[in-house]
Amino acid sequence: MSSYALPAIDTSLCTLCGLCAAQCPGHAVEMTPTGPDIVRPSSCSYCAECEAVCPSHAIRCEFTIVDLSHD
Amino acid sequence: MSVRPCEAGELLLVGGEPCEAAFFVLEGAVRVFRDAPSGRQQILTKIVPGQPFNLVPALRSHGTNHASVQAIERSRLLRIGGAELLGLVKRYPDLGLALLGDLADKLDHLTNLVETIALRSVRGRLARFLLDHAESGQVPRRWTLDDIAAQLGTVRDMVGRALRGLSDAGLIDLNRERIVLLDRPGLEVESAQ
Repeated sequence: MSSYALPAIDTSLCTLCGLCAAQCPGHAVEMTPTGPDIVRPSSCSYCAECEAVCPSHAIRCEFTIVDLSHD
Repeated sequence: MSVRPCEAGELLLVGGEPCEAAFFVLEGAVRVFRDAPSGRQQILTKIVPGQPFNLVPALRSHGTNHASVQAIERSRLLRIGGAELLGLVKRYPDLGLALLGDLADKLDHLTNLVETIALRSVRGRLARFLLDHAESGQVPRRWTLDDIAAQLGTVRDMVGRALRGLSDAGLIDLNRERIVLLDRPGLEVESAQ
């Protein structure tokens, strides 16, 4: 794949707790003064751990459900 | 009786609070849910144009909202007080029959929901959910693990575990942000478990 999805971050909801960066197994997320940023996108495995630990739902890992069973 | 517009995500009713009115969806859609003190949420149903919600408590004196309601998208609702609604039902019996039919449909839906949650495994419920919500359109709906858990009556960790189980069985493929259905007949068999 030449492009891939990354977690969606809403910095207006972020409380700067830093749990997402601390929890990210690939160290893809780092904290900045304005909130988290995915500084290493190639290290993101879309595991959704950042979403799980965020107390304010500022990070969302969304999925679409696609049916390719007829192809 | 009045028209009440609302924005996507707006909380319209809180379960357990005193009921002020019944509502009919004119445009848009709302979701009906209950929250546990632990923070878990169970989606009960989705209400679309032409359908009412909060009917039963509105028709009772001192009724309380049965559940919480939130707008899924920008919507317009018809808000009607219990006394006014009761007056309309007495004046127009066909309205009463239509509302009775709607309550019967809701009872069917909730009975099936109870059976599903009580008697089917999380993996089976997830298989059914994926079959019912797979899309091939240009802008498919997007779900988080918490969204799916609220639909299934479980928690996100269980959803993640069940997804990995279905993937290991070759029934789906987890491709970053896409859950891809590979074997519909196989998922149908799983959904009966």
